[in-house]
Amino acid sequence: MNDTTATATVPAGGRLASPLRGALGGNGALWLLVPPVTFLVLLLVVPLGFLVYLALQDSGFSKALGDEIFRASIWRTLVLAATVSVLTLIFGTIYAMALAIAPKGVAIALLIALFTLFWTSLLVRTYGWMLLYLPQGPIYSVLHGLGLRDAPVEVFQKTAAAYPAMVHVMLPYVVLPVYAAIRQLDPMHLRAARVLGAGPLLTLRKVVLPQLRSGIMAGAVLVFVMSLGFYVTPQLLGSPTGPMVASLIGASFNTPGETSTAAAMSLVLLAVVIVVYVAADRVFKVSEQWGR
Amino acid sequence: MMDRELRDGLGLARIPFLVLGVVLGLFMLVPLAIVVPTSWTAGQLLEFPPKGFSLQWYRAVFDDDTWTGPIMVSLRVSLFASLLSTVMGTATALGMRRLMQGRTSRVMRSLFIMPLAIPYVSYALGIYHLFLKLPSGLADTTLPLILAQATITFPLVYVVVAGALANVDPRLSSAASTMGARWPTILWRIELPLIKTAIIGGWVFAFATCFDEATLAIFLSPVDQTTLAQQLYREASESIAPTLSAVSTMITMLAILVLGIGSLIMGRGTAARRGGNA
Amino acid sequence: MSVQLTLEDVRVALGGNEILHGVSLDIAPGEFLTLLGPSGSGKTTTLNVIAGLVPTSGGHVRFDQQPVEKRPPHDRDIGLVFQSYALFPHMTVGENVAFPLLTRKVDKAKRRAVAEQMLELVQLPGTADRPVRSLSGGQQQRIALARALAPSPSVLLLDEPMAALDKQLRETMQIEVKRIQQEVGVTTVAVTHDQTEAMTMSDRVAIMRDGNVEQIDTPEALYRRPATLFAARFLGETNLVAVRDGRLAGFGTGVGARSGTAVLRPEDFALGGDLPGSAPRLSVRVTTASFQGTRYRLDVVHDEVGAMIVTLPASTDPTTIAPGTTIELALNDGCDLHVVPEDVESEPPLVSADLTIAA
Repeated sequence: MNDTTATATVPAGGRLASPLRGALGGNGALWLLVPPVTFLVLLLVVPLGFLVYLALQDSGFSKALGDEIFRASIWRTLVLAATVSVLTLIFGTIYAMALAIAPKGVAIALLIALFTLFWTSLLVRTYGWMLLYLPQGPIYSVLHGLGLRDAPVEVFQKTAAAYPAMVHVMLPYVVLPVYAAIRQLDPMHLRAARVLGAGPLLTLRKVVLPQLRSGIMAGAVLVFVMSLGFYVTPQLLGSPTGPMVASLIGASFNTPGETSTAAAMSLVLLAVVIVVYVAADRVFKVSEQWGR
Repeated sequence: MMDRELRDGLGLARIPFLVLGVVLGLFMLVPLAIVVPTSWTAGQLLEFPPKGFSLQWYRAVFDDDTWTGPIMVSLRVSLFASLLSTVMGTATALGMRRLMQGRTSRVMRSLFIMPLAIPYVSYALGIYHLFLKLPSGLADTTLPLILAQATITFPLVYVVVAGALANVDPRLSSAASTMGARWPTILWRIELPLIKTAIIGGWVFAFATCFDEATLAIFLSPVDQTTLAQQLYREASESIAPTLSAVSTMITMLAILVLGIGSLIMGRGTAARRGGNA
Repeated sequence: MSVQLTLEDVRVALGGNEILHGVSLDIAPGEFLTLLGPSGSGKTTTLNVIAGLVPTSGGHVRFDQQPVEKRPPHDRDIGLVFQSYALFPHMTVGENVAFPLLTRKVDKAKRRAVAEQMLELVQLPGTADRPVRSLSGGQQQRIALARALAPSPSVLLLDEPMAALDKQLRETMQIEVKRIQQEVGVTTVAVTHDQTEAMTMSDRVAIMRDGNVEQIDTPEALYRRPATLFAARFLGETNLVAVRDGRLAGFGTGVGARSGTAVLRPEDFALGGDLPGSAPRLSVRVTTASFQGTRYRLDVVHDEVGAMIVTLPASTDPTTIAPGTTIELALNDGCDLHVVPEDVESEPPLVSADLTIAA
């Protein structure tokens, strides 16, 4: 076995001493990695570090944290992100399973629906929900047509209005990794389960779902983290009186004198994102799901 | 094979999945199914169901520089941003392949994936104020937006290209080096040709993401240069009109066309590569 | 072009583990040497050290006395045939074969000419414009060989070159590779775990074990006079018979060495009746006898010596060697009784326990 391991660990170009020496002398790792790392440091690390500087300028943190509206918005945002990711996790897994077990024609239709959704502009999707929510829009037309309602529907710009739209927007991020995980299941495991007399529910619970866990969690964590910072959809659909954190930051973005507060709020949001991401990475190896 | 075993293993339990799946599939298509018909109304107001059929609102889009200007801005910004992220993401994937697996490479990979997770508003705030501090009025150009969009699409390209590289036999590079090839030759003659389709795919993906990106554009684009996504946002938050539906329908069709063709090319590329290794 | 290739006390450490413990080899210009050993013995690592794909942690690799161990692979002027061939899937056959010339900045017309010439050498003329994927395994192997030889390298390295071929093709290719190597006259090092392959192709064979060279010699010498029990067991079928106080166990015959283990090959035996009474002999019981076309192969057992493998001529009367019968075996006249002295026995404990039962 040693023979093969020895060969496999040698990077192209054949130097494995220190990465630095290897990069300079042989395989070019340094030449390839220095530009993107510099790029990311200048354009990711520096701007985010600059937020710290801004927040400390004008006692931004105490202003932000002392603000009742901001504290409420943090809670609102967490509830939204958590609810959306749980719903997306459940519906996404169901959809991925349906994709895998549907008869061919249905499966193709489901795939087309998924990719149509995935490739449709986020704004167009959000706009679609706006139309749907119009007081005399499609929901009203259908209900009215069925004789169920006469008064216009009032859902637009309520906090709850953002929920279905967010789930809708986020679904592909769970469906795709879970579907990929289903394709990688070993058919022999399923056959073995069946031969050993496991019923459908037992097979699902003990054989299928445990092996999909990392795919499901990778998707759900991504959805949670993305939902925390989502701006456009809640802004267009949600309630103006119950803003999300991102909307608050946006509102004080250009307001003179509020820069430091906005920076502090950004950092709080960022901190939540990083804590969730790092914790999830530790537990579920999320970056391995994405970074391969 | 897999699908059949899953179907048999789940027995009747698959019926609820199937039913819910179809319901969810319809749910996915609902917003689009409303937007598209409202764009062809013959009336003056946005209505559902639409009144009659006409293409007047499509014509209106092209006659109106409210829309044509932003389309050009979006094309330009997305092109530069996606090219930048494609070069950077590809270089990263190629460089990471040359590093030994270890702690350093794990930390670096976390850095590379991070732009996927950061809240755009926070990021925009940092970029905006940083550029304000720079002299020479760079904050009033599209440069901050281009750089920010390049940063957030960087992980997309990296993930796609690294995935393709994982399917390239590392011994091909060793073989080339025993034949006298230095790393630039290996890069140019062996690695890049083999991951060509993935790079193009990553670029298309990055371009589409930049084109669709609104949050960074809202906060970073200069006053006189509005992107299409930003314009859509602006119009949608002010007044809902049939032109908006027409623009939405067009960009959706275009996106599906471009991304669909892109995926087909990518799919064929991977299939061909797999055939080569077998 | 061919060089003298020397390894001097070469050590390799990977991740804190030393996996080559001082390998020394001296390979003459134009010689064909095979590294033979089980997996994990360090043979592929040794090959990769020569190629420059694995860095050394000590010792020297010399091409014609010049140390090359610090040079990267692209600076070593070698040709390496990979086990998986590593043909570039996006290039044609001709582009593959010409690649080493491209990196050496040879002009296009010359590259084309050399590629044609190489394809002729491996008996695949006219395939230059075909995609690599359209070729069979054996053809791909020839292309890989042509590609490795195209720049007239100082050293040719073959990493398990036949592993991916089926048995029939493997035998043809072994002879073919030997022919091409002799025609080109390049110093060649091959790696294999297949002893037949090693013996067919090589001028000399180095048996490797646990990161050391156990023994290096011509195939005949290795077979007839293995230096260690490991070498004896690894090359060909072997009966190891204990020698105590100068006497061969079971036979009772006196041998030169005082104590150790005698290496008796299956073909060293004949039926007692066919040889003069002076030949050393013992009585054994046949457990199985199988006809193998050119000979009979017998598993026999003796109370003191234990189980042995014996081959007898195909002309032997099958009724005399039926399972269960007791036969008398004698040592052939021509067989020079080779004894591995006790002090060089380097069998690991587990295997020597097995030997104790036999003796």
